[in-house]
Amino acid sequence: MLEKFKNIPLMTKILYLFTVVLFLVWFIPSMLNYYSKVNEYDKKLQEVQNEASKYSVTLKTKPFDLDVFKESADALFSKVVVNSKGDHKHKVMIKIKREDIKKLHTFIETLSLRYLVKIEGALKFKADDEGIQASMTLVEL
Amino acid sequence: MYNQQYVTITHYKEREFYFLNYAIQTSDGFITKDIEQFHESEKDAFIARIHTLQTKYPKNQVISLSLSSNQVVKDKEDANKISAQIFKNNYVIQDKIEMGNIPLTLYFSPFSVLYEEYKHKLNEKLTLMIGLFDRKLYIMFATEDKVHQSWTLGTRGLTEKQIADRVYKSMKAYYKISYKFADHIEMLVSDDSPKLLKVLREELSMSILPTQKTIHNLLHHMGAEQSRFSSSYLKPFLSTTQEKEELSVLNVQENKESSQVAPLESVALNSLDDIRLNNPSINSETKEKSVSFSSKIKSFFSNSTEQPENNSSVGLLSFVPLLFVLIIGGYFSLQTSKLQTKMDMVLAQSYAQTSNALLSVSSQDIFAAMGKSAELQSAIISNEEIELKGVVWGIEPLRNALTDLYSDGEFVIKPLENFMTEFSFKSKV
Repeated sequence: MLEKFKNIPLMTKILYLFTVVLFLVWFIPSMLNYYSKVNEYDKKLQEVQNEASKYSVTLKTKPFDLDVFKESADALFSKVVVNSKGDHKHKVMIKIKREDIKKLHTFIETLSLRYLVKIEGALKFKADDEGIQASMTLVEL
Repeated sequence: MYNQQYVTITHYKEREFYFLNYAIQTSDGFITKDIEQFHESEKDAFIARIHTLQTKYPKNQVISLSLSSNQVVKDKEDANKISAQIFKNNYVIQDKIEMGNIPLTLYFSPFSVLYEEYKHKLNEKLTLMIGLFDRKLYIMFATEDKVHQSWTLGTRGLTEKQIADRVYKSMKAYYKISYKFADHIEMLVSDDSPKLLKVLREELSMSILPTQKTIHNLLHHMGAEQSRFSSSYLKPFLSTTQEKEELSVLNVQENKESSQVAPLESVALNSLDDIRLNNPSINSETKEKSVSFSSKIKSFFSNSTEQPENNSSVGLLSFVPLLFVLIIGGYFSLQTSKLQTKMDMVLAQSYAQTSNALLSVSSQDIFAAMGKSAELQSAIISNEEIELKGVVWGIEPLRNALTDLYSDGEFVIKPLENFMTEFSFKSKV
């Protein structure tokens, strides 16, 4: 084997050596990194799925779509206004009756499990005789 | 009758087969017997057959040919290597002989055989002598007084045309060294290859008349006379003094001979014991030659004597491992990059979910704290701080409830004109 290696041309030897070095310093680390990432991703995904099942959210998380979001929110609350602020940010105003506040809390808890969004900053509440008006800023992930 | 005859037993290994032949040497030449072939798995039978022949013909020489590609003709002898003198000032040198326990008394280099074949044709003009043995080309550029250059070229897997092309390239390579073209080419071909002979004649512009002889016949010829082989067989690890002594003994014996073939009985068979390869002293000496790791590495990258023309060329097949590493490695890198994007998204989602859940919990707690003691007018609830404002009826229950949740909060009440009390509460979370 070694004798055969000795007899091959110099450029081929250099090429083989380069291949071996590349295999050791790039190929193997890339492969190990990939499998490590696969495990890490599966673990995190499972955590999110466990959280979703805790709230009985069975649908797969979707990218944020303004119309779909408004449609589903309209079905839950008295009035929903959504205004896009650009830069993937949306100002949401929800009007609810005082007794429906629990519904709003559940909606907030499951929001990121149903849409790829997060609430940026604070929840703002204003109350009047008709009910409570909650406003928030959603940022697409 | 038999034991009076001088017999040359010749053998060599080509690929996985041993080829064995013997010839009865007579004053009119040698009479060869049938060539026997043994597979390497039948090595014991092969050795036994040689022993049988040696027993049957006590006056014998067991002769073989070194088909190693690591041999070269030099001007000086190397006391640490195996060498044979082929010219006045030229020695064939090679590193080692590995014949195991196969009997052997004379061992020749193809260069010695080549020289013996063509020495009578050498003159002041440059002659290129080529020997094709076991798919290797042994090449020497020589004039009548010395060998100027030598090298070996592999031809394994090459077509006849490619072999001819290599011969031509070696001529060009020599021209680069010495600025001289060979005036004449002699070629000795051991294999029965009429096509090669034809192609060589067609491809090489110079006139060439290849000779075709079997390795066995060449070796029988080499071993026929002591004067022929006394200096040209490969002598492993002989010191100069030892060799000189041996040569002088051989020369004295040679001088005593009155004809070329007649005194076959006087061949000093015992004087050749030093090249018997199963001699334990030689084996131990060989083993003692240790080679350092760094020199091994260097030797991997040093120019081999074989294939001097192709050292800079890279075959397409050589790229296969590199392509494999690049393609599969690239695939893993690409997949890792894609996975990282998905991973970032899942992490962001997980973080957003936790943040939203905390907001919801804070909000629930605050609305629960209000209870029937107060009514919220406005609230700003974040995961960093809260700010509440409303109307309160039960001040103490509300204060207690809120300070239970946020102990560092600032609870402020303010009486209103309509006999109601306004409260405000601020706290860091």
